[in-house]
Amino acid sequence: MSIFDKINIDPVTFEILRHRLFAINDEAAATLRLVSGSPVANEAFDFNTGIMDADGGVCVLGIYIGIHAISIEDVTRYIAVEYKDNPGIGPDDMFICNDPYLGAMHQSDVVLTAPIHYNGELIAWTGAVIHQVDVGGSVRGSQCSLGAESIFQEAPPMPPLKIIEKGVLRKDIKQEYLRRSRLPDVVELDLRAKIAANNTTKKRILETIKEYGADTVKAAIAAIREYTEMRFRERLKELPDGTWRHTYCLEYENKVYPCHMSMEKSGDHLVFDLAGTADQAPAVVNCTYAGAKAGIVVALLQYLCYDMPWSPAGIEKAIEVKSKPGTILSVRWPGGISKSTTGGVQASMQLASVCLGKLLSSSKNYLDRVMAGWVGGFGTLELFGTNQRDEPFGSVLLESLVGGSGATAFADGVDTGGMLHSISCCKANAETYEFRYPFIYIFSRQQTDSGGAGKYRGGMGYSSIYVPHKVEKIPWCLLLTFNPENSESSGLMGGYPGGGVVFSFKRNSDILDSFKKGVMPGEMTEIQGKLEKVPPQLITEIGPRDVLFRQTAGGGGYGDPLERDPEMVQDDVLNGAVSIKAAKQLFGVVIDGKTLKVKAKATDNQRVKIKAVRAKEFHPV
Amino acid sequence: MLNEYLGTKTQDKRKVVYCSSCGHVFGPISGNYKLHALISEGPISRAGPQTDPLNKNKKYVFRQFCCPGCYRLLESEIVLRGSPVEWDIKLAG
Repeated sequence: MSIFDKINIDPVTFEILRHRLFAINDEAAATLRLVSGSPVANEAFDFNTGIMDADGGVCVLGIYIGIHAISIEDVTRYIAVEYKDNPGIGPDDMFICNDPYLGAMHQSDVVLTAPIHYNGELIAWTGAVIHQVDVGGSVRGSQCSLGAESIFQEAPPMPPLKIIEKGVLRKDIKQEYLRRSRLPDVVELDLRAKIAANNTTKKRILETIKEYGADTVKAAIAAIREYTEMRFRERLKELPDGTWRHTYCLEYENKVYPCHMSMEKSGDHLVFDLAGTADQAPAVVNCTYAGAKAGIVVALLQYLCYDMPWSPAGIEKAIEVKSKPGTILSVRWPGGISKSTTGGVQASMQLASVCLGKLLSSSKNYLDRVMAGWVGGFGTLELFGTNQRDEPFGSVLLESLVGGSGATAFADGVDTGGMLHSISCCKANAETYEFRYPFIYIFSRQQTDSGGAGKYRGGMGYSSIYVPHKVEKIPWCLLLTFNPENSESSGLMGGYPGGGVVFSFKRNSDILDSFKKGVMPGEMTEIQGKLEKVPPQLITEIGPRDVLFRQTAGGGGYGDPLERDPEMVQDDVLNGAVSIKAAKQLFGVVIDGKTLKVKAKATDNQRVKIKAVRAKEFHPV
Repeated sequence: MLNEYLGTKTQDKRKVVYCSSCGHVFGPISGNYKLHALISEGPISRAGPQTDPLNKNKKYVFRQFCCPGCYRLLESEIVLRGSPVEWDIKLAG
């Protein structure tokens, strides 16, 4: 039976309308970027937009941060049920919410959702989310409330509030929202950006209704969900049944929190069981059940839904997520969650992506879709203070978004390819940051040896060095990772994990002397100063002679590195992806230091030697 | 198959996992192939120059499994020191 036998729309109209709805949603995202004044949204693209059916199920998702599908979906579904009679859902209303216990990933991700009515009937919803630079709480940037014992010491969660009523922005609600922020101007502009995005979608959908009729547009939205579910279940049926497991560790305040996943695939159904995962932390690193589900859904979209509409509502009936309340992946009130996106949500995404990569590896027909792990851990860098124009500034620097992607079964991962949960995120323009914030980059580059070794190499991560500029100091700098010792992206089939997250300082360095001499260091080792290894979570200041180094995670490799074509390793060395030393140690490829060519016989001997070492050092389990 | 390196076949009326490179049999698919592989554990810096460049790691080890027949690597992972061998792939049937 064809999908079109079950739904009330012809195939041609369906194709036209589903692509039109995608374009409408994309236009809304473009509008949001143009209105927002925050580099978080308009440079690094930490936001998303979506179109939902009348029940709040996301049928069209934008190409930005994928976990926000669940943010807008869960918040909208809550409003659709709980607010139907009081305060009511009327045409030209919009609701704002950042309550993680109702769907927002963390308090910084503020959802604005809007019903779309036609002739008094609720036809659909549209929603937008932006990561806000500050929504209040005890810590600048609102994300990393170190030492918090619960959500009550974090940024305050805001349940859905009708911030736009009958098309009018309510001044009282707006003031309530902005009053808590240290950077209300930026946050207000982002609010306007989300209003503009939602208005764009509403206008275009109403135009489409005038052209095709309300029943046809409603049928098209419903059909996206049905079509996606059918395609998704067909895909699952083509894959082998079985169980795949993985473990991922988070670390917060010197305690390790192991997270476990057992993914069972049976016919056209997938069960993700997080049993055995550690109990919740007091605050910051946990995620809600919605966060755990969001990480899993994003992995599913990337690994299994690459050629079908990205409709999370379409796949939800075919999956089940089991997560015990009171664990770090399903926090119970009043546990804090202010940095869940790089904590629990990241953990569930990593767990699911490794399990899904191994599931695809078990099918000959899907070997070309296998991917090793992407960006195994995140490092958060936030700066607040007064900039070179004596204006207050503050922001998270989202360069952790540009880690390496995982290798596939036929090709290397993409160098600085981005994150698994966004196909469009970017590193903000270096000049934009230097203009807005009081620092300059010494370098900003892809990091040699950060991609996991393998027959196919993981994508390189990124590294940069910052030094304060035209200010006496940057008084507030937050550095945080939940993976201080283990931020590596998983390899597959013997492929090595990628390089990890690194932060370090050279305090009281000679960098200003180097500037005076016209010397620009190319490595941290070329800068003299006191090396400071950064602990997992740190709030500090950056002095005028301090330099800060950051590195993002590389992608995991695929296959035994000894099977990599030596010519590819030679290219890696020429391109700066692999050092001569690592070429020999990890890949068994000997490169001539002068000609940078492969030494064939020495390479054969080195590979035999490495196998001999394995024969000697490896032992029965 | 479990993956590109580990195939499955019927041998003596039972389904087994074998190395697709050398044919070494790891045992029935109803068991964990890793328990029949060779294992090595060492510092995570062995995974590459950028895995632990500041030498901060204390809690984790770099664990690898290879085929006893041809020494082809089957899995390379960073795990908590002392954690049990995970049964990561269990095909039904």
